[in-house]
Amino acid sequence: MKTRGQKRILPGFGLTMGFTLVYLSLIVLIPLSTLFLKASSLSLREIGDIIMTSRSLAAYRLSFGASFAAAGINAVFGLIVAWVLVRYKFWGKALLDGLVDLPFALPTAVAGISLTTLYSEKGWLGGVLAEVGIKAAYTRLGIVIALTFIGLPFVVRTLQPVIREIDPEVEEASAGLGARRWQTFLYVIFPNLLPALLTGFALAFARALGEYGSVVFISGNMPNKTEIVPLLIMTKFEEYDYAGATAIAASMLVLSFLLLLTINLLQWWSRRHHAVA
Amino acid sequence: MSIEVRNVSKNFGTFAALTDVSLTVATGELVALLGPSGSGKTTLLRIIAGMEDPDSGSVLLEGEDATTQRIQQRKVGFVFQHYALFRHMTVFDNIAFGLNVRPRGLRPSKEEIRDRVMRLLRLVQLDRMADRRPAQLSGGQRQRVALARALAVEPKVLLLDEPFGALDAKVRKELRRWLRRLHDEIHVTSVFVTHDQEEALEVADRVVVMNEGRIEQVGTSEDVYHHPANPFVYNFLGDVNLFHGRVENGQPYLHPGAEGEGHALVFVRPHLLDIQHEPSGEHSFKARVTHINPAGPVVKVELISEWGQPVQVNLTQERYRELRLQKDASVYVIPRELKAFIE
Repeated sequence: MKTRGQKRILPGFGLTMGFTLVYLSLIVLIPLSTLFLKASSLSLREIGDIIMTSRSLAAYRLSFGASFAAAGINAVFGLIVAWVLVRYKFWGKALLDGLVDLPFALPTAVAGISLTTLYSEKGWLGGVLAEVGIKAAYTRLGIVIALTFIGLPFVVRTLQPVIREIDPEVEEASAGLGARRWQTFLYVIFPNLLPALLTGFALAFARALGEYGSVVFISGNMPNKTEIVPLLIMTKFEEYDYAGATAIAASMLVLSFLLLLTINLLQWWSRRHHAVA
Repeated sequence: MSIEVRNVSKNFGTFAALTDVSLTVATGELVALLGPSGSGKTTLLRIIAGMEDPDSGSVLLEGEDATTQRIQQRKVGFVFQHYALFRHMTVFDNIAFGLNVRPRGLRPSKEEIRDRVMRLLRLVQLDRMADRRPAQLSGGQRQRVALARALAVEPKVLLLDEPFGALDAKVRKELRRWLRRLHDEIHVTSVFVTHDQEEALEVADRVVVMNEGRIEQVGTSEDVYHHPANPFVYNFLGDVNLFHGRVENGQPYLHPGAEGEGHALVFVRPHLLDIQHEPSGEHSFKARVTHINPAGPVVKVELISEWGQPVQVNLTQERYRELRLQKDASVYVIPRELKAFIE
């Protein structure tokens, strides 16, 4: 907002901007920069060697793949949950609404242990799955399950206010013009939800990338198979390989940042193309 | 296409929105549903559209029972008070929507859709706004887009729910005259809901006056205004002075009578009252002027009658100058025409 010569309603742009920069520096930028400082003691070649090992590459693939899958699952089912919670009145709605936030509050280790118990071959769900030949715990599927669990609130909470804002008359107008239900959803409702859905997806995705606590219990942690990047970093630490740990951490940071930036750009684009009044 | 509503009732919880309502609208007619808020007019319109199911009774479109038909099958165009435009689409896409969602076999070609949308845009005088989004239009323009969108699918019936309710007074007047002219051009059977009696009387072929979920009277503007069926209709259509008078030998009197004797509600419209300095005839009564508003085509004079009732009289500017009225002056009020309803 360029406001030279124009009166601002709230004063103090200089002050608040200064505060924002200091705050972000202290909380985000300075801790991250030490990471890069540490990593800079390695040459690019050394970093490359650490990253390009088959074990690291497998971990990257798994982390990004499982996080993407989990965020995708959350985008679909989170949308349904948010829709039901906003649009329908039913007994126990407040309770259900509160349940959505639980993955935020629950210590991730607790989530990991309960999910593992539940999905192991002797668990309630794992037993059923085992009968049809699906192994959940200690596999990649288990990782996706854990990541889906912790990412759900992000999609639901970003979508709820947007769904609440959609005027039911618009749906009636669409139906009145002869649109079938799926057409009303696809052409009338969905474009209005897309920016918020992308935000929710990005948040769930980012959260899943960084998740450690719940995954270590359910994944089984087998190198090359079910080892995620955060765990690989921890392993390097425990082996006193600080350089290796920072190299992987820094590369992970750059990759995540690029991905989130892309999603944000996408979101900005969709907001422009479906200009919201 | 004709519309027939037969004995329709609808309750929302314990609230009776409609009670045994029957109504027939002939092909090509423009009918207004007029009533105060909560009178059931919007509910009736939504039931005709298929957006609401009646608890009992039926809706016939062109003689065919449509009660169980869904809104998609009824071929009605619906215009909402708050436009309900698709805000992420351009004006063009909004109007083309109803054609674009048709199954492939019934969908006109791209060129046909383009032609039809442009023709409609010219009809609603917005041909240069095709690429705008709803947010960039004024309220009056948005409502015209909504109308064009409803007309694009060539509906058999056009239903408008308080179409001018959200607009300011001047635009509202322009737009309702324009709607009347448009209807004279395209002759689609239309029903519109309004709580503005002036709007209903000016635009509609026939007016349906509703109150508390029932129809009070159906008739032309002339009918309902000059021959109201009951006190409600008289009261609702235009300014009116209400007197708790009496009827003796078939003659209405404004003065309150003795207890329980031929008690009647007597109505007089403000422009049917005259003011004089001397009493004249048995209906005239004494009153004191409390307020004069000389601005506008008529002079509005407020008075207090000798028995303490506020009375409004509308005088022509000439008559007002002739009388040389002053505030607090004592004068006589003479009714020219009375309408009595015996209680």
